[in-house]
This record gives sequence, structure tokens and C-alpha cells, in this order.
Amino acid sequence: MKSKGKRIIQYAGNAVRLEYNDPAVEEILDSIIYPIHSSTIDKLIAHFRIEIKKDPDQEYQLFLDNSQIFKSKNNIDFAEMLLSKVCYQLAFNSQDGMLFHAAGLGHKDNGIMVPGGIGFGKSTFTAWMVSQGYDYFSDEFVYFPWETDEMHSFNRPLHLKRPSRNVLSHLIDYDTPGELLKVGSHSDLIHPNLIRTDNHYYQPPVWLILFPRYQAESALQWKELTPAETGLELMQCLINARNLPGHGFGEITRLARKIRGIQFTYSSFEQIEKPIKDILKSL
Amino acid sequence: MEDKKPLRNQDFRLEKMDDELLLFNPKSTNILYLNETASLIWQLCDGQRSVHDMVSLLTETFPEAGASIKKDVEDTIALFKKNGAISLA
Repeated sequence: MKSKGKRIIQYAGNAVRLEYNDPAVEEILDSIIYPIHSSTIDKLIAHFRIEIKKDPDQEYQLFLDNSQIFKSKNNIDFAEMLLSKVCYQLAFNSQDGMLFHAAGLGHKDNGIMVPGGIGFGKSTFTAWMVSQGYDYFSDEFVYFPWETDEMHSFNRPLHLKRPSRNVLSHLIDYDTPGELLKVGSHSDLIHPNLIRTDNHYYQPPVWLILFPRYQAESALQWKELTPAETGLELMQCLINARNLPGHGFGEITRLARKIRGIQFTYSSFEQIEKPIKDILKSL
Repeated sequence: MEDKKPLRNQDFRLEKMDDELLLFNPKSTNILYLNETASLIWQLCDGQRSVHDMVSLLTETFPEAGASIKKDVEDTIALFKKNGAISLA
């Protein structure tokens, strides 16, 4: 393949290289990976290649270190998979700080981290928070360079599974796919500006950690966590523990001692609107 | 159970956070959260005291807790054992 372009994606102390044979790939990349300022020394750990085959039908093909790992005729499904593979490579090899499976939000130059595994409704909750005026950074990764409280969030579109439309349709205009809304077969990629036009990215110190749990028809259960409970929850969302000295346990407890952690179970946004505003109004 | 003498597994790293503990075993990556009561019981797992001794000591110290202490101790010891945090001699 003759390369028509390349891009380096840097995050969490690592970098991946993307090469492609068609300028049309630029548009896909622009729609899934937003520029992040990287102040760390990044190691190149993977080489992706993207090819667009035109004949007989247009097909997008993804290669990792020369092995084909995915292909699709749907450019949005392809974009989602590419995003997932890039994220995995960056996360799997990260070793110079703590990398959490978490959403990153901001308010008045302070960071709000929302850790949570798959299926906890993290992205849906994050989209709602953006609609309430908080800055969106990421719905997937938050990274703390070693011994810092500075949130480096992986800036990308909100990746919302199709059922979340049921609860977000009053906040997001799903009727006009375009630059800010990419509709895949099973999920949507949403630019935060579709929800909040003056959203901006920064890397603030973490000020609050929220652990939301969506549970249909439940009453609101709100719990201020002790530092030990916060540490326990954080350990379960630390992606790169195996790469870190002491599995990151010391760093986790350092963070948990300093930062307020709150866990809540909810079934509707109306239940949590006031308590969250009450916490954040002190900023 | 009452005659058994629990001994802490030294592989676990401990972080005291206020009156609670987090225990982490880097070998198994197992992590345990201990509330105030469980933290006290953990500190008594020295391989010298039996479970019966622990119940007696805690009943003396916290008479208001009364009958629930025996069950709390036994449940907590069972949790420690299940997670490999202690051995029982």
C-alpha cells in the first residue's frame, strides 16, 4: 500500500501510528480522535494501517502490524472499531501513570472523574452531565501521570449505545446526522458540541469522584464513601494495574485519601439533578 | 471454628485509612475492604488467639454489641479465609 497520510495518536505515555491510503480516512480520524496535548514522552507501541478498497463496493480495512483485524462497509462501524482498537493499544501498554476506565468531566477548572466498567451507564450519565453545563473530556479513559492529581482524559466523541436514545432524546438532536453525530449500526458517536456548544477540553486536577449506578425503577440511594471504600472502587477500574509498581495500590490510596468519592444508584436524572448541583455549587 | 487460630497472610499489603483498612495481595490481585469492625478482627489474627479468644476480647471491649459479636467474628473470619487473607491453624 502506498501511504497517503499518517497520524500519530499520543496518550498515557504511549503513541500509536496510523497510516492510510486514502485522504477520506482523515475525516474518520477527525471524527473519532480529538487533538490532545501530550506533555509526556510517548513510546510508539503499535502501527495501524487503514485501507479503503473501492472495488466492487467500498470497504474499510484495518491492519495492526500488518495483520488484518477488521473490515466493514459501514464507515461509522469502522470508525467505532478503530477507536476501540486504538484505545486498547494505548491502555494495554500504559505504565507511567494510573489509567482508569472512567469518564472525565470538568467544572470551573476542576476535574470530575466517573469511573465505571461496561454496562454501568457511564456514557449516558456523562452525556446528561454535559447537558447540565459541565465540560466533557472523555467517556472512556482518565489518566493520571505518576504522583499527580492531574486528569488527562482521552478526548473522543461520546460513544452511546442505541438504547440510551430513549433517555437522551430530549437532550440530543438525533434527527440530523452530520459532523457532530455519526450513526453506526448499533451505537452513535456524538461530538460534545451537539449537547453543549461551548464545551472545551482541559486537564484539571481531580476534585470529585462519582460512581453512578443506573438501576431501573430504583429509589435514589446516595452514599458518601469513606477513603477505603473509594480506594476499593478505584482499584476495580484501574486498567493498567499489572504494569505499575505495587499494582498501583499505593497511588490509588493516595488519591482516595485526598479526593471525595460519592456512590449513588438512580433511575432517573430528576433524582440526581439537585444533589449533584449541591455538591458542585461550592466550586 | 472456635478453637482455630487465624494468622494473617503476610502477602497482603495493608493501607490504613481512618479506622478502615484496604488489603491488597499483589500476587493474586485480590483486594479487600475492611470496615472498622473487620479491621479490628484482622488485627487480632496473630496466630496466637483463637476465634473464641477474639469473641471474648471483643465482647469485653464492646459489651453493648452483645450477642452479635460472635456472628460478626465468625462471618469475618470466613470472609478472610475465602479470600486467602488468613490461614487457620
